[in-house]
Amino acid sequence: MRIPFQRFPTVFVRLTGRNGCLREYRALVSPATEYCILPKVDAYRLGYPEAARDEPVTEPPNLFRGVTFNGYWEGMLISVKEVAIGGVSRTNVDFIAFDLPQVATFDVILGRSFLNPSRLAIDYAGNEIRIGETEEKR
Amino acid sequence: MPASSPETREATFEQIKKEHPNLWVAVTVTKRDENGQPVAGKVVADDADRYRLRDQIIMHNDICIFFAGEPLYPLFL
Repeated sequence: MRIPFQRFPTVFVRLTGRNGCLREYRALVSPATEYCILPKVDAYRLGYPEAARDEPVTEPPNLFRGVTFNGYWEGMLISVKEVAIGGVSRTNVDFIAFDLPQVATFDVILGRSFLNPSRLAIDYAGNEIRIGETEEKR
Repeated sequence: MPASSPETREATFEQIKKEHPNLWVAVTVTKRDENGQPVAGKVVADDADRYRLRDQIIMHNDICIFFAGEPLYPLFL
């Protein structure tokens, strides 16, 4: 599958939640990001109330800490029922419910928890993403 | 929102970007390319704030959300 992009490598990705609700986003493809990311409000809408951290004292078991260029951050780990880019789909994909700054203009980041083990090439010279299944996934 | 009624006028995503510049938009997809990528749809809501946009689409069970523009600042994600 060949998907053109302009400034940033982006694709539209469809997320199906455990409640059957479906959301589609223009997502940034980021192989250097360990987990996929989506906004907390959408995680909740897709049927993952555990995306909210209601208890400020004790640490819930799905609390996840990571590191960025800007220091440490934390979010809630959820497992999205189905994630698909065209014919490339995965089930039970790990996402972190985390609100990226709005000025980033991306709601969703597709990281390694979705991209591995797909075949992925980001061709900046050709402004094209090539993504497909590995042999064992076909 | 544009003068035309929401959910009645189909537009390509390129048209939507021009008509809703630098806004978050929610679109019901009406057309996809050979890769399954959405290329046209009907705008349900737009807003400069993505959380207010969510308030407007809470009843929709299948909808596409994107920012109709490019980042204004360099990204370090």
